[in-house]
Amino acid sequence: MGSHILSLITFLPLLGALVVALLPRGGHAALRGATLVFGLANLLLSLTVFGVDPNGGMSFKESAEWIPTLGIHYALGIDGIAMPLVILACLVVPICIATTHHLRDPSRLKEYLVFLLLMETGMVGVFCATDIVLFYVFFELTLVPLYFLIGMFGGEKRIYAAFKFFLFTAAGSLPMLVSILYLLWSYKQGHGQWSASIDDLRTLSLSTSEQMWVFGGFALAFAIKVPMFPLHTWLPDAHVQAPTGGSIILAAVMLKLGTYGFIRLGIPLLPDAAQAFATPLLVLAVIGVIYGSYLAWAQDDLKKLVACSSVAHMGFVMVGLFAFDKDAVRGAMLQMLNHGISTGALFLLVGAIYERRHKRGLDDFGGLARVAPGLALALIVTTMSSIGLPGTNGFVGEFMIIAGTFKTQPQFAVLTALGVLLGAIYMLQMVRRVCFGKPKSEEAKHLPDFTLTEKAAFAPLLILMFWIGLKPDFLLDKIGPAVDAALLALGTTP
Amino acid sequence: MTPNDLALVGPILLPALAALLVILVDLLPGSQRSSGSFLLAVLGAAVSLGYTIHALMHDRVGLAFYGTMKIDRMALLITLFVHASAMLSLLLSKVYLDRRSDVEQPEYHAFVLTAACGMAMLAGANDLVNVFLGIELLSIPLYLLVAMRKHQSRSVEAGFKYLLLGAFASAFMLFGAALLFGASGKTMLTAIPSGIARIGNDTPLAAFGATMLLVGLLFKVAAVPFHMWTPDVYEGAPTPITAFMATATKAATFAVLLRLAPVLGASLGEERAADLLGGIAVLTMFVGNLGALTQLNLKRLLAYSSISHAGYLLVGLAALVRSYGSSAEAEAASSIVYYLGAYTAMSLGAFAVAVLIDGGKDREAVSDLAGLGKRNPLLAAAMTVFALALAGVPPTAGFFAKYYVFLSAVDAGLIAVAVLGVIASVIGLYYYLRILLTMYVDEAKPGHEAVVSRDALVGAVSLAAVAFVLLLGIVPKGFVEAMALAH
Repeated sequence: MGSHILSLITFLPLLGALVVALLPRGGHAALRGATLVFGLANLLLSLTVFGVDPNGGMSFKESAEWIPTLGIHYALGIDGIAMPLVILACLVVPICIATTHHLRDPSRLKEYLVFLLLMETGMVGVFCATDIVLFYVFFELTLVPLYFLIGMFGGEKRIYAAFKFFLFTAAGSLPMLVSILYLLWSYKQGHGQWSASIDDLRTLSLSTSEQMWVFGGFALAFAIKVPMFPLHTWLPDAHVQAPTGGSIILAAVMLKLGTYGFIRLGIPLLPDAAQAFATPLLVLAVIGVIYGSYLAWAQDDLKKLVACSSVAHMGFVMVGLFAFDKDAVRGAMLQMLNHGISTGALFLLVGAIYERRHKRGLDDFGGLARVAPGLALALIVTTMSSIGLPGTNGFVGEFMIIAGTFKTQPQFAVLTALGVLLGAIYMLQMVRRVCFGKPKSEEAKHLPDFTLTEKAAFAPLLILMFWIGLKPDFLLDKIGPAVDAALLALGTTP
Repeated sequence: MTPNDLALVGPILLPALAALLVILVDLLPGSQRSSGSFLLAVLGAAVSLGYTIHALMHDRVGLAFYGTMKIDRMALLITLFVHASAMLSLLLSKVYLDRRSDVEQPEYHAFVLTAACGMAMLAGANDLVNVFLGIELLSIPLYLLVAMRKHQSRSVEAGFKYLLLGAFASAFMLFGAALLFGASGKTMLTAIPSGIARIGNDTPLAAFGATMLLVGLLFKVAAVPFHMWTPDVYEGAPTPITAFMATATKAATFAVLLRLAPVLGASLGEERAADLLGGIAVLTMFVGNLGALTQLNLKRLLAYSSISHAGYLLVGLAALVRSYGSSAEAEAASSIVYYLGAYTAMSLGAFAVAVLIDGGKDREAVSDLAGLGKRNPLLAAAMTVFALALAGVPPTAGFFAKYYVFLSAVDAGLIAVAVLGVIASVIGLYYYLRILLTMYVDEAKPGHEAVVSRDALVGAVSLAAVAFVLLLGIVPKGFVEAMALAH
């Protein structure tokens, strides 16, 4: 008690959104400046949560009554699993501000920034909520601003993409609501009173068949968010149509809500069902890895390629999660962060390339290394991080996932390793076609290089890529015990 | 009749007095017809509202008129919704009617107050006779109000349709009430269950009577399969009246349904009654949401949306009937009252936006909202809140209303109904989202830019509704507790 730091991190962006909403529409510099101030202030604040309990417990706890008659609390807390994600969410928002110089409709910059800050409140809230109803409220809260970001600022087919995004994710989260209601009801049956605290709900002992149904509701919601094959079809559309900032947020944070939901709710609350569902989920995850890679390989559009690679990379995370091995789950947690960093960076760069020529076909450029060496170098480094070259963050995560999975599910480990190979193929051929060779057209010969704003936005991601790649312990020390605590319910910790 | 009785039924008498006053003042020679009656009517509604709030805060509850009226907290809360809705509809009417010359204003205002009186009576009715009186007292002015634009064939047709079908429904109700009296020997709602039990549990007479009564009431709340009139009547009626009907009629009729829950359980069997209501609820949710998908007219879209919301409310009612006498009962009852409060605010708000954009030219198409996000960001933001609330997206009141209703359904063992309700809500998302996209993404066709009237009163109404919808959603504690006490 006493500390309100999590509330502050959650609601400071909301305050920022209100402030920005009251500023005059015309003053773009003032709008951006105010948003940046709030974004950076919140990033600084969020760094304090790095001091979470290293033993895996919940830190910075807050609790206040919300609807006491129904046992619903405004309860926040954070552990080693949520900590990196909160910081990541606070990090990407200022980065997104840097991408707002080329909006489709510049007169609506204000709306864009307001939605961006609202998103931040929703995202941080999800990761901090320790009450299941509060979790749901924040989970849903993230939908609306992103829907508007895509629908108002997206590309040609933005309406279709925004609708598809909202309907897919909302269709998933409503069955989750039923599952939540069932959990609450079961608790009331056993204890005579309502409670929506996740800790209280962990004490439930449901029969396996009950667990299967409830887990089904959760799994649907989270699998759509991840997204897992065959529920991934909304993602390429949403990514391709979204403005750069929307894509970055979507890739860096929104997809993590799915995997985070599994580790925070699905596995600890319903361990029997999680084990029963492990094999089918692993199969789908591996299909996602391989199929996503093939999809990415076949793309001629830079943004679509990165979007499809997201499906593959999130498949890795799911494999690690449901291998139920300590190392694999740790790796999965780290890989969630890594994917956020490297794919966020890729979208940033793809957006930067697109803004220069309003084209993003793989064969529209060529020779970028000579034309715009800074940009090309950044793209190459990020590619290396994305395909998991040793020394970068991607390597640590993927290695831990595969090595851990090999202990419990060797057949899936082998198939997942195939995904690493495919990842190298499609990413490197992308780099070859975009960065090397001769410029494909007259326009491609003269492109402005990395601007200062772009460099500033890219720098923190670059630092993290190598920091995590070379010295992952500073995170793993915090993630590890929290993972152990989450897996405790499985009973069979190897 | 004691003075105490009169004090208790004050929220019912005051609007009737105000209605009489409006008509009397109108007869004075040389009176400023429209503006005078408007002010008087709003004042009357405001005084009624204030009195209701006062009674609620000082817990002025009890039985009146030998127990035929039961003014408890539930009745007062629902009366509060009714009077709030009446007052806001009157304010909306000012904007709507000032742009039209084909409506007799004093009569219009008096009818709104009379209907509010009938609804308040219905909220407190504890006797079959009073239920019927309340229903008629609210229906007859509404038939007239719907047809108030007498040179508009759409309006007159709607009024006639409503009158014919409504008369049928009343007949069903009366028949049902008579049969129930025959089966129990009582007319007092609280005495009917024991009356049925005394005469014999297994009597088809009671079951038949209760069903007939239910048909009449379900007609009023626009539940499937008695919903056919709704889109036509909602479209044809003056928009402020549509808002009033959609919210206040629903609230008042659900008050009766809440009181009838033990009667339904006793006459049909709790399980059968719950199954029946659950089935109707599921049908209503699906028909409402599916019907709204293809609507191009905003009022018709909101009509179908209103049907679907009757469905969600019926989920709560089914839960109430199923759990009567158990610990889950209070929850189910308060979930319905909470839902009614939330629905009143969000639906009134949406209709207020519809009134504002109609520009005196009956512009009611969804596409008339196009470009609103650019030209009037405040109004668009308000409509966004209402649409999201109607769709049930957190943190609005609409979300907690659905949450609460589905929670009580699960608690009463009606898991299948809750699951189907959730699926229906997913369908509903689609058309609410379409409203949002139309406002923010579509460009208005040249010459079709919505003429937004800048009316301070209606602006205040919308703002109040926005605040209520958000407050009820973000800090529902106080409200939920008030509702829990209400039962």
